[in-house]
Amino acid sequence: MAIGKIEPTGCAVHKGKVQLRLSFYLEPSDPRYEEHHVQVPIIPEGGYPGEVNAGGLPVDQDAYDNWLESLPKEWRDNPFHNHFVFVDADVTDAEIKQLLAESLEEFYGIWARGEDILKVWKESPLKSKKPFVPGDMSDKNKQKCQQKVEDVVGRTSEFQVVHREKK
Amino acid sequence: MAVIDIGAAAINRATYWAGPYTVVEGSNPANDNGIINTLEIWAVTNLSNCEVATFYVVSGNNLSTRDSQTIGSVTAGSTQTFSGLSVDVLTGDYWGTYYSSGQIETDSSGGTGIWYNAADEIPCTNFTFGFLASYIISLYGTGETTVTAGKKVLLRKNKYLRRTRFFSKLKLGS
Repeated sequence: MAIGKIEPTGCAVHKGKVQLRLSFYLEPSDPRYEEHHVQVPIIPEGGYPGEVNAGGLPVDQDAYDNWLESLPKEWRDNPFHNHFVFVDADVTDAEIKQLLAESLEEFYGIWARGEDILKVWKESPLKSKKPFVPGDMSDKNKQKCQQKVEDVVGRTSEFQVVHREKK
Repeated sequence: MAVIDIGAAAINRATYWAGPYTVVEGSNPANDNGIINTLEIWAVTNLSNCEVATFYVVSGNNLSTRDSQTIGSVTAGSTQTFSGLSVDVLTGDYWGTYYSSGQIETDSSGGTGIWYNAADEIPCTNFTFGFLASYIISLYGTGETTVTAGKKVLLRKNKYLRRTRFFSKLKLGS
């Protein structure tokens, strides 16, 4: 049972279109769940306390590795894939849900078959692979797109979709 | 359509590069003109306000952006893959990113080097970056070449010729 969500931080106006970022997550019962169920260190506020160079990198790599190893860790479910779609400002909620559902079905299918998502996406004629066509670059259209982005970002939970295996 | 690739493998590396920084990966410039439509990135800690861009060298360490796209947050701990991007690229362009906080997987050796600046330089025009030789970051993209206007005319012409030959054969056969 995979889940498709709109990731609000990746939504924007892009070349006269509404850019929506779709992020896809797995449940423990899904194939290859462990690949994106990861344990990450909890970095304290202020980051690494040791000596760093001008670029903020640790001077002593071993000391950094030991520090990182000593930190408490947490489990997290990362997206197994992310996908961008571009729509017009007058897109309906039903059309957005349709795009999300179609994309989830395709990407989850590739994932569940144990294949490389990006490789398959590039080589196959999928519904989620549409050539980008820039929109109207007038200020009026860009403003309409921005309003649509804000509208969608304000209610992302309404667009969440779940993929269930057909029996 | 040929495959374009740009940047360095998005793998788990020994150290990190902490934001806020604009970092441009100096290895593996784009091998063709077209559109970058996939992204792979590996973060040590979550990246915020991430953007990606194609950069070209104006002269020395002065770079300009050619095109860019908002990515948003990138979660840490596994390779994050993205499809459906639309970022223009020309042969020789470099792949770069900005993030306001978080850390990207980095090695301090084994690479060509990175250009960097501690601010959001996407977009920028003829901006002077710092450069660190040998460094490499986990930021990779692929894309496809685009059919140019000249090629489109040629394709249309070929289609017309094929159709004319087909109908000529039909007439001869009847």
